Amino acid sequence: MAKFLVIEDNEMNMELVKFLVESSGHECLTAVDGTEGLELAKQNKIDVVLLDIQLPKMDGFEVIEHLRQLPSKSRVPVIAVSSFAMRVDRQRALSAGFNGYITKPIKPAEFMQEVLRTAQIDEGEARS
Amino acid sequence: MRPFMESQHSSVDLATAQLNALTHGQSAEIFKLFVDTVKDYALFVMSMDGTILTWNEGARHIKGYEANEIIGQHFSRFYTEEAKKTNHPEHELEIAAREGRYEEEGWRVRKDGSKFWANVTITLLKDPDGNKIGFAKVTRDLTERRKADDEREQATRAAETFKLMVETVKDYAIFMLDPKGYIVTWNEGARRIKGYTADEIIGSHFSRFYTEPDINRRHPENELEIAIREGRYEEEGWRVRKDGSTFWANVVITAVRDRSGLLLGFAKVTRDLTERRKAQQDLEIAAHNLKLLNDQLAKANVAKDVFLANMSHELRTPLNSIMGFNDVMLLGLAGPLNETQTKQAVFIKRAAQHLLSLINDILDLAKIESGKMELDVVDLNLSPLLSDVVAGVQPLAGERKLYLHFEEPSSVPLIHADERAVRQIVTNLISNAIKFTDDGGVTVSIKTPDSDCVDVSVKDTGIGISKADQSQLFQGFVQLSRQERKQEGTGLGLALSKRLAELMNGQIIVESEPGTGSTFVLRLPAVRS
Repeated sequence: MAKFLVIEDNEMNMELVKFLVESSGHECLTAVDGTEGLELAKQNKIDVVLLDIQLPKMDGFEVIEHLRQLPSKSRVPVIAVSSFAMRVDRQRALSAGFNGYITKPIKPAEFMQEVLRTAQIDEGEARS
Repeated sequence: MRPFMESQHSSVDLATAQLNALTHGQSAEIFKLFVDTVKDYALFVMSMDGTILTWNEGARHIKGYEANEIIGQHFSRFYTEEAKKTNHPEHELEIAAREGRYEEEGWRVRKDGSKFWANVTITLLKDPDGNKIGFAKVTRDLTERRKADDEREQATRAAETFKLMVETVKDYAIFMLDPKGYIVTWNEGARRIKGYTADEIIGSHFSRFYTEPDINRRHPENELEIAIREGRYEEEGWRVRKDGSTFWANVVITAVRDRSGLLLGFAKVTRDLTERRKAQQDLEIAAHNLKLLNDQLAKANVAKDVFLANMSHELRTPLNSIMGFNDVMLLGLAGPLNETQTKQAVFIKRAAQHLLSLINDILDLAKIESGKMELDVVDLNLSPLLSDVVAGVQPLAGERKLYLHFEEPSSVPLIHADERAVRQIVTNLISNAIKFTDDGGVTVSIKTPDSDCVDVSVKDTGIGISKADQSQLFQGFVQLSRQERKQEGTGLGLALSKRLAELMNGQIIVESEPGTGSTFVLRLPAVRS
């Protein structure tokens, strides 16, 4: 079992991702903005971060910058889940330190597989 | 007709005897000396029948004969043929004999045959007893005077004509200034353009046509100075009419000098360009407005592109939940659905996918329109790419019970294109072909019309497209009216495909007959070997 941190400002999209994470047997912490997400990251051991790009106040790029400055989170896998669908958006995210980029609308049938593969977490493996 | 030729003496002897009788012997020598030396007048004496009796230096000079050549000859030889034919010489003598004197101006002939214009006076000579004894003839050569008169007359006439012409010119103000700038002449054009009559303005200084700022900066004087220095001054500027209104004028001032270089004054030609300037300004204003409008349109276009990109992005957020949860239900992750629920969830899925393709097409179009479409144009092998695309669309053909063939050629030149764009275009063309075909199917093939390009041909056996509808095919959001049932499409597919093809220096060509099917060709540049 891995511990996920999902930072997503849309309530229903949050519920969807949380459902998929938990349905596949993992733990899920949720935050609706960057500040709250960074606070949770400081206080918890996290295995994967799923981060929306367009967020109120602090956007995904700022969040990952702050996140990488936390000693315990400098190498945690961070995957962007974004509705920015252009090729440049993906390239920009990867060069900003994201480990993966998933475009909305997500495909639930493949979503968790892709996330775990990108985060290099074996199915059912637990890191805490 | 020679009544005085009564003796057979030589004509010279006779002439001498007659001359002695005429001058009473004594004064003959003095008189002869006087007459002989006069150079500007031909003076000679003739007998009553016109025989020349004496000859002087003037006669020699004017007529060209030496005394011994001419004395004793008849004077009619000085006349033109025309005059001789009408007996004019004899006529002159008759008048002189009757009235004592005859005078005229007329053409006479020199010894060398040349003509000269002569003033001729023939005076009857009488002896103290009153007997008519002969004639004295005085001839003056007036050729030079007559030539000068003619020239003067011609010059006067030319000057009159010129003056008349200048005076009547209406479109140009043409007038003369004296060396100090005072107006000397005035024409109709000047009256019309500036509003003054000749009487009102002649004698005034030309600076009154200038605006106050121009007068204050001594502009009129400067113009004359430049004209004096360089011969000519030209400018366009504001001038003032009699009524105080201003007009935009083209002005040329030319210094006028006599042959010795003395300044006589200035010729000033002024043209009213107000209308032309106004037309030009109107044009400039129109151009400016057009530019503003254009800028606004460009801004609006950018705003539209930004709006479309944002909208496409914003629509994805709720669509993510709709499609995501629907898929979750279909996957049975929260428990199994019954058959009807599954069928209905599939409807939701299909509708959502349609919505998503709309959003994607809009985003792509916005990207192309704003020049932000990123293409990765490389050398591509078409065959495997098309096999892959055809395989991907095959299920769609299967659903509608249509065939979908790919006639794979043995070898195809490489093309120069973006792989994703080619996939998108060909997928769109094949999907369209399937959508609008009820019986038969779709054939995809590759052709090389020439060494510069490669064609991907998508041929269907569908309902076809009329010529009128073909012209609208590539406009966004247009689904053609002929369709009997509304097809599930964005209406953007062809517009998008066309623009993508053009971005790769390619094109899309359509050939279609209603009822017999359509062929869409994607033509792309080949890689030169």
